[in-house]
Amino acid sequence: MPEDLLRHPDGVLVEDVGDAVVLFVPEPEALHLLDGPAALVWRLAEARTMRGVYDILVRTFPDVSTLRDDVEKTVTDMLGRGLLATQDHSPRLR
Amino acid sequence: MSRVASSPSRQSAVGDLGTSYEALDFRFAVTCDEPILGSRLAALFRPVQRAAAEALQAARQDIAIRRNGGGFSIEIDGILDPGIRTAGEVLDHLQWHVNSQVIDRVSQRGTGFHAAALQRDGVTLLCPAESGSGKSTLAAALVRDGWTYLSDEAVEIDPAAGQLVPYPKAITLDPGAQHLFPEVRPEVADTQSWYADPDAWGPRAAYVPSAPTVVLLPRFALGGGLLVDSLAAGPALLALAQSTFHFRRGPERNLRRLGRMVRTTPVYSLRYESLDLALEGVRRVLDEVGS
Repeated sequence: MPEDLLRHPDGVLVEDVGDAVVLFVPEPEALHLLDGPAALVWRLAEARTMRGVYDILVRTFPDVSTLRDDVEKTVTDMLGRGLLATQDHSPRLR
Repeated sequence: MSRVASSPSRQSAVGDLGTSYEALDFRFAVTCDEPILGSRLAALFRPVQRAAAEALQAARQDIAIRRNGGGFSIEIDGILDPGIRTAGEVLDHLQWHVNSQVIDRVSQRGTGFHAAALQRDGVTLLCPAESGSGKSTLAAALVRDGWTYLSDEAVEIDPAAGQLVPYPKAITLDPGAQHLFPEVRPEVADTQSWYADPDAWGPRAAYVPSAPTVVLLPRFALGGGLLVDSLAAGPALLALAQSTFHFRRGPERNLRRLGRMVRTTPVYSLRYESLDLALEGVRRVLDEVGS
């Protein structure tokens, strides 16, 4: 798993509605709904590496055999959509 | 033409006086030099007419309708709107113009929804929906059923207490819905839509300012039967955002207000293929929320 520290990008508005998180990304302007596991991953990602996120989630979901791949896929997707960034880097947008 | 605000107790024909109106802080006055069209304009905007004393003090947009050849021209704050229109086209155009002004102003300063809204027995119902979804038809049916009318087009959220601020314009009934409301058929049918005075179905209880107690997302679907679903907060927020006027003009304030709303207010989707089923759906939702 990549070792970059993750962060919530500057300028992204966040509204936590319990089980879900709604994000407004200013560039390009769009609303994103993250619910369930995606919301969990996003919340945990601030100031952690992908591995760090996985290490926390595996304690809660020890029986999910695909957890490592799921976390990597989810974080990579979020990086691509501008919902996460790496420390000292701009968000990598598709 | 003189421009003197009239008392709302007089059913003035706009042909002889300018009359002032207010729609969600958009203030405007209308004058018309042809009395029959003037009367129709007065009837169209009667639900948003202002009291004379208030009208005299407020800045407002001046809309003047003048005979021009075989039709009418429209002048807004002294600027001539291009085109000559029939009487029916004047009514359609002005209703569209006022709606546009309302939406523009609300979205610049606050949070407003493209929505119908009604109230009865302590329940304040907010029905955000896109054009063509049937919300005006649903609003008319609910008013006929005894509900107090707030709007079939737009409401603003008061930022302090989350209460709905109404825009009680004439209810717009499109051609596909007109056969359902023969009792409000206009005397002159030269407009694309019918503009029904909400008072046509009789007096209703006055609106008590309130935050919405239920949000209902209506959608007419031929052959769709009746489907009522409760929405989780996340999807509900996205659905409300789609009906928020120019969400991007104030993304932070809009996001916060929608978030607060979905955390505190039950949200349902209502898909229906007939008016009877829509009313049944509303009753089911109210039963479920215990109203």
